[in-house]
Amino acid sequence: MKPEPLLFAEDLVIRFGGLAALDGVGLRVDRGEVVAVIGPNGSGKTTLFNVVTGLYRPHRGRVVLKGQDVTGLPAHLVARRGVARTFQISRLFLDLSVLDNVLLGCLGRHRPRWLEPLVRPHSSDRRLREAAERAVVLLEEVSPELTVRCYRPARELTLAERRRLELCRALASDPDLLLLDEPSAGMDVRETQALMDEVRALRERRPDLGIALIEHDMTVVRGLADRVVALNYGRKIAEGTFEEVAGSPEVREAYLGA
Amino acid sequence: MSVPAPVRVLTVQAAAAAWAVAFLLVESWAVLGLLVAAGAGFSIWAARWTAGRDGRAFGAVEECAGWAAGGLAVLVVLLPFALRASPYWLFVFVLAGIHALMAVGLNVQVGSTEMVNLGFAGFAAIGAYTSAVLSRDAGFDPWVGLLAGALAACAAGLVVGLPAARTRGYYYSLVTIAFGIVAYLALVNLPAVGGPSGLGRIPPLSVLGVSLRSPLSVAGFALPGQAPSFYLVAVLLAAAVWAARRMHRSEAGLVWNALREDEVATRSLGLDVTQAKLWAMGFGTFLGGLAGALYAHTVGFIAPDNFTFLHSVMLVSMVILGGTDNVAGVVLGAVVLTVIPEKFRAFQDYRLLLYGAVLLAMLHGRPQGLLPKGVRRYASVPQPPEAPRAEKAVEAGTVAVR
Repeated sequence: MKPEPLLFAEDLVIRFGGLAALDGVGLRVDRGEVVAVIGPNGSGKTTLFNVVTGLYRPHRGRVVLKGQDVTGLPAHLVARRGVARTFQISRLFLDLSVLDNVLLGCLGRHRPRWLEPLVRPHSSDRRLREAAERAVVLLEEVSPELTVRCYRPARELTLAERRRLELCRALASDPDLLLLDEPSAGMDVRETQALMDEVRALRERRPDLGIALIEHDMTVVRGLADRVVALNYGRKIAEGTFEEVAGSPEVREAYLGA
Repeated sequence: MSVPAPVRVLTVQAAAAAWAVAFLLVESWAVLGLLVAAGAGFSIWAARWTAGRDGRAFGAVEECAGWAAGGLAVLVVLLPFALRASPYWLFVFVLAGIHALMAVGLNVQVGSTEMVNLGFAGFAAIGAYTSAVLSRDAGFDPWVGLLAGALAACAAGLVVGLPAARTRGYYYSLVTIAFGIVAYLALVNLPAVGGPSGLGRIPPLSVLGVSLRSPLSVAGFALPGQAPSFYLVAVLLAAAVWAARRMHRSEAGLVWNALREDEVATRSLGLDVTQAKLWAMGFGTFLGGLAGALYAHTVGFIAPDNFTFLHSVMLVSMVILGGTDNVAGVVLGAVVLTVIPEKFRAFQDYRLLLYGAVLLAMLHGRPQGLLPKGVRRYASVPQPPEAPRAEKAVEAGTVAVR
């Protein structure tokens, strides 16, 4: 018997106006697995992520996380159950420091105690201090360069550094499932290589972490993914190893129109 | 010559206070002009004299914050003595303190979370009217009224906040403008609370049976009837500043800031955005209601015209002038925007123009305000040394895209 999947989504349908952005898509991610989602622009990849993370509510279908149905749950509750993500265009807290960005990631897993700073100042201070320590350890793990600049605003970072920080922030909540939306977009060859090394190192550090990534760069897909899912017009057109999917006539047609 | 930093800070504080008192009491325009010129020169010199270790202007004030706060406390205690011959100016400072209390509350919304609440006077009105009615007509102690007023405003904030939390940016501002106008019109049209002519004879707060509107005699000095109110407002303001700074320095403030920067990212981190907005609403409107009730009992008379849209705009101007998300800055903004227009009362027809001009000038020239917000530092995470890696960062092949 196969172990219970980390993420199991099936038959997802979501329509925007008359357009079915997702038209019966499923996605399965096991623990320790890297699944790449590919497909032409507008094929529904990011929408799929948005449905899985609870930003959009699907019209049909269900999302099951670690055996629990999370369909239609608000985004913050899905995140608290162990889903973290990055965004296609990075969404850092630009006016906050590098450290505060990661720190906020650490805070997400439990409910904030709003009155504690006034009622029990010491325990509130201690918790924040400890979270800051954890954040800096995490930052050190992902990028020593960012650690040096932990008190600089995130606005000052380059594009590649911003993506790295966003990854670090996502990892700060110690997720079970990590969704990366086009992690290599806008990066040059060297930065892309560094990113791949980082994901590989991450798999070694956290062998149980399931990763799904949307990617256009086939070098990255080939180098990282255990399994590839191809979408077009909101439907799954192929699934399998990189070679299988790359050989699929439907995928070729979707990309090349031939 | 090396004067210790605390001495430098305290000296500058004392000189600034003396200058401010002189500025308020002088009436000849010529002398006033000289005073302003001297003040400008003095502050340029003082900025350098109290520069921080990193060379930042007035940096020493932050470095010995304890001394600075103590010095400020002493000056606040002494102010009624300096102004004992002119109760009018003391009253202006009472008003400034009440405005500061409101601005500290409003800052949680405008500064920390960027929910620009343009109906804040409406919440202050709820606090003021609740407290006035309870103490004047229902016979409750004014202190009970004060607390009830704050709680009523807080409750109203949560009720308005629940639907408003679904909106952001301009839409949120519009919702709050609508609330402010509805509150104003409701008061005008409710005969039970005096309609357009408002409520008079609101009993003063009292401590141990002594009214806080009666003159005070301390060590042979006769202080005017405004002095007790001044001290009360100062104490409450200090408590509010303490609370607001604690919130800012805790995870609550951090989550509020995250909300300001990016709502979708905040949700995706597992943080409850609606809850965070409601806390920002509740915390802010509690202080707003408290300040409104304090106003009612201090002045003894309230009317709808004390809580118009213009007052809401004035409060937002105070937050922006002083520095969004900087509690000390917000208090400074409130004091400046209360005292300066009073000093130039001769031009009071242009008061609105002043608020508009201040807002525009600040948003263009110094959007961060007089005292900009700083980066949070944690004692458990010392500033890492700048490694020689800095050079590596600009190695060939790295493209910085912004």
